[in-house]
Amino acid sequence: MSQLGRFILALVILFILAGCWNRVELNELWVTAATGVDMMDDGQWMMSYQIIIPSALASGTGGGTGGSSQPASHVFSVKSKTYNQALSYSNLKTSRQIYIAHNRVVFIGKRAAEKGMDRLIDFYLRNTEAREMVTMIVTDGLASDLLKKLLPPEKLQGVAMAELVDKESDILSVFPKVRVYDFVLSMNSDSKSIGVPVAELTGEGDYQDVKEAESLDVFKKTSAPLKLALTKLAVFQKGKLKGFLNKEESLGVSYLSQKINNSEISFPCSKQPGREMYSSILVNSANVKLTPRKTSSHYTMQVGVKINGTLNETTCTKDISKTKTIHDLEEEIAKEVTSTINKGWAKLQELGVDATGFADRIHRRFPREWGTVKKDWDQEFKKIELDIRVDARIQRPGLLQKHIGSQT
Amino acid sequence: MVDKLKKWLFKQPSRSKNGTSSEPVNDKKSTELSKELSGTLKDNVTLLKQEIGHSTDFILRCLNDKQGNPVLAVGFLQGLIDQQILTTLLEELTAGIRNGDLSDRNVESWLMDRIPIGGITCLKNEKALIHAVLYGQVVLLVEGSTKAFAASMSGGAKRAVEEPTSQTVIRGPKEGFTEDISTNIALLRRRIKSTELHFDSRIIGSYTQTKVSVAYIRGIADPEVVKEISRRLDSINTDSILESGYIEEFIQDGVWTPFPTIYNTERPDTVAGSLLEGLVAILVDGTPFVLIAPVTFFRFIASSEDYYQRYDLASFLRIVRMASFFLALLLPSFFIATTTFHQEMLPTTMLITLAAQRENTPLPALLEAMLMELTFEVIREAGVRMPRAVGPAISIVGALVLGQAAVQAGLVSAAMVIVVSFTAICNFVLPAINMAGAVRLLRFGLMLLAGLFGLYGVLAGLVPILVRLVSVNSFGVPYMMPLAPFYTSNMKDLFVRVPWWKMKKRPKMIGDVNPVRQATEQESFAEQAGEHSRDPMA
Repeated sequence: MSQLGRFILALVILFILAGCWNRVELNELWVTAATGVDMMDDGQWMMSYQIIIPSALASGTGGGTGGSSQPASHVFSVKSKTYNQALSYSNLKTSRQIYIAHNRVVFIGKRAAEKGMDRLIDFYLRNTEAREMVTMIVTDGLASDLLKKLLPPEKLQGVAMAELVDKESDILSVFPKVRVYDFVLSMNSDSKSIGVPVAELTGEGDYQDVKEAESLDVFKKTSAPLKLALTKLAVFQKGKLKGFLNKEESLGVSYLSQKINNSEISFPCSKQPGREMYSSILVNSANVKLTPRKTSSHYTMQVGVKINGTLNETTCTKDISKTKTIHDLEEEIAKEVTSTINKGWAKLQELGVDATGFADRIHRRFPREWGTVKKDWDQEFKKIELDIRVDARIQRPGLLQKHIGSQT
Repeated sequence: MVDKLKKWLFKQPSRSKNGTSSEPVNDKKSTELSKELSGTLKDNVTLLKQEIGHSTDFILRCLNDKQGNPVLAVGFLQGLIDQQILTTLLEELTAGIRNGDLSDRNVESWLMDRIPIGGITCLKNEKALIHAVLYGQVVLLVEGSTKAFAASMSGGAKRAVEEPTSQTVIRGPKEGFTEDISTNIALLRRRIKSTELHFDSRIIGSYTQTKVSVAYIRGIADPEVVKEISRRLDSINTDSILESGYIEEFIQDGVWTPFPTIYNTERPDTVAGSLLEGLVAILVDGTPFVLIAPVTFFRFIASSEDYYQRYDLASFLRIVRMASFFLALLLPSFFIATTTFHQEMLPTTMLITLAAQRENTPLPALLEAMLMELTFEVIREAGVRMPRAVGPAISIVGALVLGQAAVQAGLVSAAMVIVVSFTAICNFVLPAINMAGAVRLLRFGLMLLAGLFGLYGVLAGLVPILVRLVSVNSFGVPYMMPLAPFYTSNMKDLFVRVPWWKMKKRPKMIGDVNPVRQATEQESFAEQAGEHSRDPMA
């Protein structure tokens, strides 16, 4: 063989060995929008895939009418010993290959969450196709049940759910957005704890309504009797579900874990007799500073909260143009925030879960002492006290100086 | 091994072999015709008749004196002569004979003095005589003289100076070169009225005897380049040159690359601009396309209009063109690669839309793209070749049948039609047709690589292309010149064009001999006004 021939051979080998050989046409793929992970009674895993039916989603192509005649997604479940087995066994049931790189959200059933997330995490980190940027959501019951429910008016429930968490954590910050990646980080941190939002069907509904939420009929109504919504925060410790926090407690935890972006704070008007009058500010920026302090017997966490907001709504009858009124309102905001944080903190201490990541802060601040604290951190955590200082500022009270209904 | 491959891949055609070969192609006559002219009119007339006289378009007229003895013969090829001038010439000649002005002795001086023609040359041998006839001159043979005279009155059917069709501009001169080299030279002369503008003419092609003229501005053009171009032109030994494309292929560098290393243009203003930058132009008789060398890659992205429009708009359009170049080269291959190998790179909604479109398409994306691209190439070619009258048919077939109907029939996906048509449009943005052709060729290769190896393949295709681009020279100037090797000074006229008053120097390495283009104190009036502005409040 000539030298040139050898050179070309080397080139060809280079191509063949290093080239991409996973060629697959788009119409040979079932793109999944959401995955559900459940632990069954017989100790097997059940993986549920919400696959996107492209032709139902994109209208006007290929001559088909598409659109409303068919739901945009289809859910099917596979029972198996491992996740990968589920992925492989799914080929027994589907005509196309399951493609999970575009998976936006993974639902975790309650039992699976209690059993532990390490297997899921391992799968996500090991598999090249699965992305670590998938949003995690815990469900109270079976994840596969929730996968089947539609989220009108969005056609793709999985994508919509991910967007919901995204927007919520951006605009409201009650429930933080947790990606698999964040979960991995928390499992490797000192606190080994994290809070994950819980999605549920809410509303008063009977069996009929539950069935309807799984069918296209739900799109025919202007308001579905049952709705998918984020309701709680599930706190995990060492990868296992430990308990739930309600909305307000979760907000408190969001403050403590510095996950507040924008938010809304409703607070009572100060010293106003009679009816319960509430005002509301839109938080433009919230800055939480956590400084661990060491006292003789335990640690104290100094929580400095700085809030800047716009007064959006008030029914207080006081004159807002006066500085004192603004100061009074700011004081009320501070009180409200303090109480929110305390509620969340109380619940965390009750559960004994350090979902705020205080362990890492103390480790970083007192690296030498950490060695001794580490062993009985659970006890130490319960001893931690909070020293909350809220500095709330109403930056823009608005041009309207007095409430319309005010007498003075 | 690599060296050998390099040698094999990049070897230049050996010119020395052509240059040293002393045997001309089909040039037997040149030796036979080197004789001196005979002193008798009869012999010379016989010679002319023998050589070309049997053709019907060759006209030979003998003029007799009062005694009936032939004194003068006029010979010319009918179609190449301006009939009007010929009439005046013949009138003058016959009048001269009738009046007896033309006697045997003073015929030569009489001709020189009295003939109402600008250029008249003296021919001394047979070869020159034949050439003069073939070049559209009128030859005058005089009894008893060993000299013949050629009066240049070339005329006949000639295309007028028209707007160039291949390179149109919105703003800028609308005249283009014609097929006639003397007209073309005149067009250039009219633009550059300088004694430094030189035209070196030579004749190439043993049958076609094509006049090829090398134009350059002495003092700006690199003499080495002029010498090299002349050398390469002289080494061409062929029987025909019918278009400048022949010359281009004979003398160009970088044979093993689809990228052109010689620019061609129909526009005199482009040639003038290039000459003033120190480039050399090669004009070929019989074609309106003038070659310009040496050129770099970026000249093919620029349009002559860039220099006539406002600099900001010109810069913007140049960047658009640059982007179009990459899109035209890479868009289909990127589309194929991402949709068949790297689905994770697409946004979810886009993936679903594309997947929905592909739901009913039978062919894999690569084949689909190939099919559409080839279809487009066919349509394009048909559009160029077909008679004007059937123009609408092509657009109907192209747009409706192949675009709309193919999608509805489920043969190709709508996205592919968009990709292919956008690629095609991007391709048309490139002002130089030969560069657009290079892009078209490479696109198919890259598509194939994308379909087989994904983005890895695209990259593996792009690397050799880039390596080749930076290794090619055009008459000693590196092809990617202002970028590799990097010249900061040339950046003013690369991706953007700075205002004219900022471009004080000619591009380096091309116009190195005489670098300064305009006075260094040249500045915009805006700047001057800033210094001397009147204060309205004062």
